[in-house]
Amino acid sequence: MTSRMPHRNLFGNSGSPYNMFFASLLLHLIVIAAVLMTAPGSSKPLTFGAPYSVALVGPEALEAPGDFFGPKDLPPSQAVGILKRDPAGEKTPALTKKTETEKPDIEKALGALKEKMPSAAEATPSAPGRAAASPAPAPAARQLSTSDDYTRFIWSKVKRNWTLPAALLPKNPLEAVIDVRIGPSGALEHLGFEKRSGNAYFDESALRAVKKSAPFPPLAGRAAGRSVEIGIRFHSSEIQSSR
Amino acid sequence: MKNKIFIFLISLWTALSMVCLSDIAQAKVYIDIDAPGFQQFPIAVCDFQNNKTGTPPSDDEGVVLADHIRRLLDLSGIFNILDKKSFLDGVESQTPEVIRFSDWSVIGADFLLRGDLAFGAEGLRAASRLYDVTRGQTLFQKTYAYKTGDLRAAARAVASDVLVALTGDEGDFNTQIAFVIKKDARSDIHTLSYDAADLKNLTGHQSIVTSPRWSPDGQYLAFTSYKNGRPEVYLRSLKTGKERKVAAFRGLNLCGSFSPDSRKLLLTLSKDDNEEIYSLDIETLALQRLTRSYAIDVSPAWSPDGRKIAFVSNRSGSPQIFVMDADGNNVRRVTYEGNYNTSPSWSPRGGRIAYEGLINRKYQIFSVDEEGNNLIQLTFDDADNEYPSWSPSGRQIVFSSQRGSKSRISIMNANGLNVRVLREGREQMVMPSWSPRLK
Repeated sequence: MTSRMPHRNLFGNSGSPYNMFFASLLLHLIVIAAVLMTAPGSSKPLTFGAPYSVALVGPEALEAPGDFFGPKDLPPSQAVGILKRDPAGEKTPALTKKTETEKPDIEKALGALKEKMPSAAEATPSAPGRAAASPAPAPAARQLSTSDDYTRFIWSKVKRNWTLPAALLPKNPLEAVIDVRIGPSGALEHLGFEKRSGNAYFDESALRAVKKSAPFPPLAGRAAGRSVEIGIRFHSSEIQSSR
Repeated sequence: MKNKIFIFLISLWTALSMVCLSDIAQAKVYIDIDAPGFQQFPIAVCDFQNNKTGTPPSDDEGVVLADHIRRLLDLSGIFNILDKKSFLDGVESQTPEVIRFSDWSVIGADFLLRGDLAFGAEGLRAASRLYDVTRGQTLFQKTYAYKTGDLRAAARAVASDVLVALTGDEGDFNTQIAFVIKKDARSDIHTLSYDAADLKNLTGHQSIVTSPRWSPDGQYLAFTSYKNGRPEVYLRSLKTGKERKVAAFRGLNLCGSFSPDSRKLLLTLSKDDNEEIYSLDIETLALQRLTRSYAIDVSPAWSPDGRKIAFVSNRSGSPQIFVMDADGNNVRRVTYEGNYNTSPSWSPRGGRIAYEGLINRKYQIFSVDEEGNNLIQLTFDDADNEYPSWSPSGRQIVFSSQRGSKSRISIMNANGLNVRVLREGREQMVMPSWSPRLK
């Protein structure tokens, strides 16, 4: 009997199976919560799908037409190769809808961008669209409300700013992971390597790409007012296969 | 009471869920980037500030030097040279202390090269500085001294250092390309510098001269000449210009490539009835036979590690590329696509062999690894593209093209991109061979 006393005291009832069930539920909830709270330290992506396989938010707003698919002097073979690869996931219906609803905002943002740098945009015939990718202050008009939009934007901007001649790569595939913390305003709060590739020139190029892409747009939605931590994985496998 | 407990549990559940959800929102996200957006470093090269006053802009050596550097970097295939017209007003005259890197990043430059040129009694002095625009750092600062008028040499030195700073390797600026120009019934070996300047006729045999091959130490050029009415192999010292006949056996004597230590030269000889591959010690002239086949074996090329030799043989019916050990053993076939594959050239970085193959009745350049895998077609146009030869860095390939009556010597990146024509003409140009780095 004494062993049942605490239950009685806690729940004010006899130790019926009903109460036992709730007590067990409570304990389970606490354990699950504890597990989830420690989980963010693990290195597996928890929420967002692979950003490279999904659509860009209004590609026409993020970059000048044609720019995304690589420099214009590429021979058709290469251009086609890239074309095939990237927009593959772009036709997802749900995402297309999203793009449409956000168009006005993005057009406004593009207008703001154009106004800011008229001379630069016209004056770089040899680097089409690159000026827009340069570290101009992130326009406040751009609303990247969901975290998917945000990561997609970062993906597109960093990729565009990543320059690495295939000829410099060794035969083995390389991977570097850069750890980035973005502050509430979109500024880069921290930049460092989570994993180096072992090839200094590859690592340098990755670091330069992130640095050149900053600052990012201010964080919005649930993440507003906080910092977010992002790992950017750079791979060489795709260029290697086109060598 | 039961209700109270129920409400308590529900609110606890809600609170816990909120904590968990916000945690998920904060969890580290990973973004995968599988390929760079661009494969060429965007670089701004400013005209060098010349201390000489009163020179008209067209003759300004500072402008000429910068133009040479731009051309060299452009030829390397890994730079996007930003147009001078895109530079913002007044930025070129900024002193090093007040460079505003934002003025350069806004036009898309990742790197900035600037310099000053001064002329004195002892010649020219070119001080140059390379900046990383993204990080606002100086990557190198160096002064080059050359004879007045030696602007090309100064440009090669600056361009090499830019490449060392960005890639760890000096590139191919200090190299030459030897090739054959055919005129009527005669042909001679000519050389051209990397930036397509300084065309020189090297042989002048008044005969047919073909197959130039550089020794890896840059001391010799070997070639086949019909000077005495039949093909014989000569060795020309690049220092003294003296020529020495090294193979004049009965039948065919054709020149192949040097061993990596420059001591041996591969030859195709038909002295033992059909064309076989031999290796010749260029000092002692000792000969070693490597192939024994009823078929024709020609065009031998040594691997950069000296352990293997690629060659062409028709032992399986059609001309195909084969690889054997340097002692002639362990022969295996490398190419299986197409029924006419010749002119193998081994990448200095090892692993890959470039060759020409017949496809859709045109010769095109291909590359394949030494096991015969990962075949890539590198040229696609409607010309006949032949005789690939790798640059010392292994990043580029030179080849010759014939289209109608026009002939070209061109270079391209090892992946087939960025084809640049070095020389175009109506005289037939064939068999280009890329030199090692020359001092």
